[in-house]
Amino acid sequence: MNEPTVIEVNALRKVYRNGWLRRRRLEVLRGVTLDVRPGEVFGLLGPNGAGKTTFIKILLGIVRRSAGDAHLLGLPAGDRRSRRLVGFLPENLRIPRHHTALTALDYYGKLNGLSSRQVRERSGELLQIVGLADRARDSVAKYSKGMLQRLGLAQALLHDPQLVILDEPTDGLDPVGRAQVRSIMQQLKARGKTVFLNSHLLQEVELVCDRVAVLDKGSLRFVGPIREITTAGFGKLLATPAEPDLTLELVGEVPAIRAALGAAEVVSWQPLELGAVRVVLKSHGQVDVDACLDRLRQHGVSIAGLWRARRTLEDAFLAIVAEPVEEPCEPTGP
Amino acid sequence: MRAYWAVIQDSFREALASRVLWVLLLLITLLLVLLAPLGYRQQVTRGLNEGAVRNLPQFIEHVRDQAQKPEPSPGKRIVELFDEPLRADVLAFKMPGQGEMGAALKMIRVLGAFREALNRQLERRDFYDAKSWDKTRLVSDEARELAKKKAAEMSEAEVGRWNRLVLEAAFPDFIPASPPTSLRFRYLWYDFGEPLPFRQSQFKSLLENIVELVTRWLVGTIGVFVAILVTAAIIPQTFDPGSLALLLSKPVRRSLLFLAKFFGGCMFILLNAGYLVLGLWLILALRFGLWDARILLCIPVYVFMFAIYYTVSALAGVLWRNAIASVVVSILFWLVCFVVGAGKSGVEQLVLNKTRVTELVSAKDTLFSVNEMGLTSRWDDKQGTWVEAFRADNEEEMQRRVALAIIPQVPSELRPLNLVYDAAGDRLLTANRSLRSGRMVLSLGPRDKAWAAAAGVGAPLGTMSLLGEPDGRILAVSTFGLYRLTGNPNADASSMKVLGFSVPLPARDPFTVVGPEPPLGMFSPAAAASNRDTGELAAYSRGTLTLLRRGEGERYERRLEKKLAGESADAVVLAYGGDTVLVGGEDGRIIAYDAAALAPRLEFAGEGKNQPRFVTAAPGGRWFAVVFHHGALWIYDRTANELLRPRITGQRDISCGLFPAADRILVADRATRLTEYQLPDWQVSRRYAPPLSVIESVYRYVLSPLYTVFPKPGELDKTVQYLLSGKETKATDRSGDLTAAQQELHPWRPVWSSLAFMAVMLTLACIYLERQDF
Repeated sequence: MNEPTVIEVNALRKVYRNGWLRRRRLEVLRGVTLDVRPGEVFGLLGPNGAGKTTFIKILLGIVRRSAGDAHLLGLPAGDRRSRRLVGFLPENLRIPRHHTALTALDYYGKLNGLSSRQVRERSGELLQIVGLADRARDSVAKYSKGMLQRLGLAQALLHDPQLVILDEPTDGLDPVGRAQVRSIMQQLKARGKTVFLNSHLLQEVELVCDRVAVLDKGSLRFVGPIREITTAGFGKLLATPAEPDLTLELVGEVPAIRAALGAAEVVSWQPLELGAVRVVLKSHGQVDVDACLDRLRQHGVSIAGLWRARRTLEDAFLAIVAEPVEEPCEPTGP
Repeated sequence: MRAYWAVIQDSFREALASRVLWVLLLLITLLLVLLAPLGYRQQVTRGLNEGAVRNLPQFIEHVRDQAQKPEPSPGKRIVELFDEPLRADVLAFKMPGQGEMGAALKMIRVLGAFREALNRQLERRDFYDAKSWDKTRLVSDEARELAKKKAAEMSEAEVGRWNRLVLEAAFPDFIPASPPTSLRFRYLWYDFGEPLPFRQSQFKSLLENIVELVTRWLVGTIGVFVAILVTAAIIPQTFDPGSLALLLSKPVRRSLLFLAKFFGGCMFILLNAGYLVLGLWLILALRFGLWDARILLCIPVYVFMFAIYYTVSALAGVLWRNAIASVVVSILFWLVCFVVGAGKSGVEQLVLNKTRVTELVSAKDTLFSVNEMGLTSRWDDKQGTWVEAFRADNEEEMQRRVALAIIPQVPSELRPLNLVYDAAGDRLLTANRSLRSGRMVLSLGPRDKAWAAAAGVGAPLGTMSLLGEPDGRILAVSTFGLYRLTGNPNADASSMKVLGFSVPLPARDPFTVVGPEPPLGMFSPAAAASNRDTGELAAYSRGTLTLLRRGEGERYERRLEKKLAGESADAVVLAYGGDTVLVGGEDGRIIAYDAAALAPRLEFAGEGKNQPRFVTAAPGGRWFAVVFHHGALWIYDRTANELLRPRITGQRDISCGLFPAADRILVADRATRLTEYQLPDWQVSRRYAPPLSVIESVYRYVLSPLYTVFPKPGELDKTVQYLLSGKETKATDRSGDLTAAQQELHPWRPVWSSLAFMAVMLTLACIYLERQDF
């Protein structure tokens, strides 16, 4: 853990107090601990109301933490110096209607401390990257939601930040736009920038993120490399990973097939057309698989298909959030 | 700071993107284009415009009375020159009684026809007829110069001017002396409106008032209201969740971001006010020759006015993030400001200001005060308060009091002349303009009749002030000269009672002309003062200061004459004591002249352009008191030859002063309180402090403190007036008389209280923003 971190959060808690006497209490973050390392693309997942936006707002100083620590680039979260090094694209971005893309970039760039000259130098390239170069002088009032998102992305990158926090960056974008955003994220990663991504689109997270964290009801449920969440068991099994089931599509006589399978633990048996059958076996390791395949061939059974069941990120995510909330877990390394 | 400048710059951009702004700018352009051809021209004053005759019905009655007599007179000449129907109407003219609608309508018709026909006569070369004007004295230099010319030799303008001057000389009680030139507004090549008999300074003041009025309504009212509507959404939009998170993620301080946004929101009104005022300034400069950059100061003042409302709107926007809430709260705030301001101003104008002591008269052991309404009170030691005195008990007095109670600013027409103590007759004396005849009539209040006022005979024609001589006798200073009261001024003096019947006696004028020769020709603005030690008089009229001494037969003769520097027709107030004549001019300068040669001994302008209202001299002539319209008191010490502003109670709320003795001064403050000081160490020797009335208590302990801490955006027009004129008071009387009451502006009061209010509002908003989670 001596490696430098871009985001370092330790036992972060946030409690909102509402009502006239501020008696209503709503705990949205319950001791979240995680870190994001330089150059990685980190995804934050969680259902609505999980506390993701509050988490980001605490990082940016928009919301105060109730307890715990949060640091960005070695500086306390919310510190103006750290905000200068961060590019942020908020969810549901609204840009005042009197702006064009150029004036909006000029405005937000100056808010980040850039000079007019610096803004001018960067604007053209960025608008080209996000695909708004030909609409640069149009009023944003005429922009679609997707165009606003692209403009928001451009302003987040304008001052060449070390850390880019993107809250639903592909929201409202068409497939081409999404691909462009993904490409930008990859470019940022390639340039050594750190990207913190908050997205509902799990497939997108799966495609670009190195590591993910799952937040649910204010508690951190998983932090780790993307492959761990998709291949590992869920819940309590996360600590003792097991092999996934083996699926076989076999062509042959049923008695022969049954004989060949022998003592193997059959999870399901599904007859297919043309005398084929799909069998799912409980597998305990590659040795068992190899032995089973040898027996099938010895009994003259053709193996038409063979694959291990791989859980998608969505499966993993749904399984995680279905688990009852427990005490916050410690992050696991890659 | 770049980030915050960016926010302000963005607000500017936002304002320019607003369609409402462009619509307003277009409307302002149209207004400026419409006003651009407006100009003026100077012309000789002739003819009678609408306000030239003091009381037209009374004047017609006066003309009628003259016409009905057999001997030639100006009135008879006027009526002779009318055509037959109008002549008949004038000769039969009488004021309609109550409910006589037909007679009232006829009177209105005759009034119009009379003025129109008289104006035609005033263009005629044969209007002046020496026989008719036989008894009239032409005392002005201008008239004397024109009298040297024959009618046939005069130009048309000269004929009109000459006729006007002879008319003024014949009817000084009705037609005040006019300046040689008048100003007339022009639009392109066309004159419009009636000629305004204004001096250049009055005209400048009129233009300033117009500018103030136009900017107040267009910018201060309409502009601010539109700006409140337009800008109400700026702060809520800024704190809209979609854009707020992005803004707050930038390396900026929330409070500074808010303040920058706030000041940026003022851009809207800045653009409008800037454009309009700059346009008006250019028109005034190019068309009226008034290159006065102070007009441009209206811009920041109106931006400031808007900013006061905007602080409320912004705070509401921060709290509720709703544009409608911002507008509603701003309007409620405006209403509260209006109610508090109107309440205080109403009590001041209708009650307090009118009871403010403006004259003090010492009648041996009795002290009298005269208030702004001209009502006299006597100090009652037993009750420890002022008791009304010198009150007439007649119908006219009742009418006068009703009018005084209703009218906020007492017009000079309703005020009596200065009150004097006639030691010879042991009585109070003044003169009122009769509501019936329009003539000045004496009012007498003898001690033996408990100082009750009774009507006396008419004052000499054109009387403008009463003065006391060292021996206690009274002098009347009139347009035509000086008159000493030598006879019985009682109205019933020309009759005697025989067996219970009133038997008329041949009328005998109680006033005797006492010089000087040639007559002074006291034309407004004029002032006079007597020296209680030497008996000399100082008289000022239209730029000339004259010292008069008592010569043979106790008649006055000129001793010295001096043309004062500055605009020749400036109004002054003056006092004469010992060897000093102290003159306070309408430009705010106080000059002490050595009476021996009328050489200036000390010149002083310690109160800037604020105008002095009263000056008075102590017996012996060591001390002089100068009371300014804005309530400041200065003392001139002849011995040290310096003017000082004493640190005494009520300074800046002082309404008048009196020297009851050579080394004591009575100072009136807080409307009716008097404090007597011993000079030169300013030790209080006595106080006359009447208990406060309920209204005064409410005003002093509730309204006034509330008003002090409350913002006063509606009063910033007074700041504008001050910036334009440089004076902390505003003349409400068109007479140009410096002693007439002026409205106090308190120009900086709304600025300070509003600044404090804004600071509180903005601080609250900043604290909220800094502490709030978004």
